[in-house]
Amino acid sequence: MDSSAKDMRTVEDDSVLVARTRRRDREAFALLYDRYSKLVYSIALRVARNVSTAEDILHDVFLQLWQQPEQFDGARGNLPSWMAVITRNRAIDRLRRQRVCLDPAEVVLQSPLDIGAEVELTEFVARVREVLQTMPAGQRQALELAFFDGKTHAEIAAEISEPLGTVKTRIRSALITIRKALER
Amino acid sequence: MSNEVQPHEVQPEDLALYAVGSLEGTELARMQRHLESCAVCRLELQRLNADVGAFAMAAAPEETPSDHVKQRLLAHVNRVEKREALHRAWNWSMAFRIAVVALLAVGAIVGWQDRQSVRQENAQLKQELDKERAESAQAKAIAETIKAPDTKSLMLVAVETKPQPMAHAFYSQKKACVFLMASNLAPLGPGKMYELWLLPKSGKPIPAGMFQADSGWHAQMLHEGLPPDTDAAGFAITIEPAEGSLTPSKEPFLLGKLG
Repeated sequence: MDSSAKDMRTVEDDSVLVARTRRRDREAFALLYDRYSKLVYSIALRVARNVSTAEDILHDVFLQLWQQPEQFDGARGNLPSWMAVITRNRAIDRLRRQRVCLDPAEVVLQSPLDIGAEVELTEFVARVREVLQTMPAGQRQALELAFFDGKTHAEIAAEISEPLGTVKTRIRSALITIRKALER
Repeated sequence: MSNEVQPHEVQPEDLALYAVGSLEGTELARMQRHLESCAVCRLELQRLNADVGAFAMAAAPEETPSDHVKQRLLAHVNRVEKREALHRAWNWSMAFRIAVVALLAVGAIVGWQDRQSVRQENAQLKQELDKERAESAQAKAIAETIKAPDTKSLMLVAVETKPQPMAHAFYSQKKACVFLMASNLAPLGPGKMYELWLLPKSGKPIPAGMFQADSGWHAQMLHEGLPPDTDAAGFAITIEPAEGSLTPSKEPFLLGKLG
């Protein structure tokens, strides 16, 4: 990496942008939006399956980041992972008001990875996609039904006609598979 | 919160279900109780959250949002920032005025020490004069609003319940200002304020000033600087967060329409 690329990466580091956003720096906030709006929108659209609703969720998630940037700090893990979980929770909460999702302030991630720049994010996502492609289909299906469709394990068991225990095991196994692959 | 490892009453699979938001009812409550006392599970949950985040980032098909979302978001942020900047400026202005009054008071004390009563009287007279000027200016503005040829008067009463809270609004379209007198308004808790809205004949409600009720449950407010020449259909009052809202967050509890 040449020096100019290093400088660029330093300037654009997530933690720096979040810190600037805390100081009400609209330019930094716009840079964060440019970097993660696609991620947030993709998850929102996958959950909501409606463009208008997904756009509202995208707006709300970033407005939350602007209004309460202190909810995210480095100790909570990396920003894109945190935003991904927050987006999903907000989308499910919006679609199924009767279900209680975790408050953003309670979401803490213990990630060994430090995704600080766009290149690293792209590489990270590519690695996880590789894992998902080789993962048993049943595991991935159970995880998608739980995460994106907001289904309980009982609902998933009924939908795929498998015992509850099998569904539980598949969901945990899927997550552990992702973890082990990323820790290599 | 204890860091001791508690006897595990939950299975690792249930912790994974919790991380993906797939637990509910008694199972969810049991897990939350357990997490409060089990540091090991809290740590494992953080790792599972990271696993879930990684999955979320990679599993959703990539979609690109429309540019108008960014424009809407940044416009919203700009509006909020402008409002907060105005609020800060107002606070500085108040601080300046308080400082001026304090300086006058200090001057009066020094004058009393040096020349006894003459300067004290001068300072008092100046304070009284300033106060009277301010009161006179406000009274003049109120009178002009009430007497302006185009001023329309309307009474705002409770929409559904007993008509106890009420407000009287005087709106001058040409002067672009409104004077409001209200009574029987309960004082609001911290973080809340009443907000008056101009309801134009076309378009969205326009913020027309925020106010609090005094200890006697009365309130009055002169709000200038409304959008010029706005044809009003009426006014409404809502309860909003103290920092104000750009649109009414709830149904109005006081509403008045111009005939």
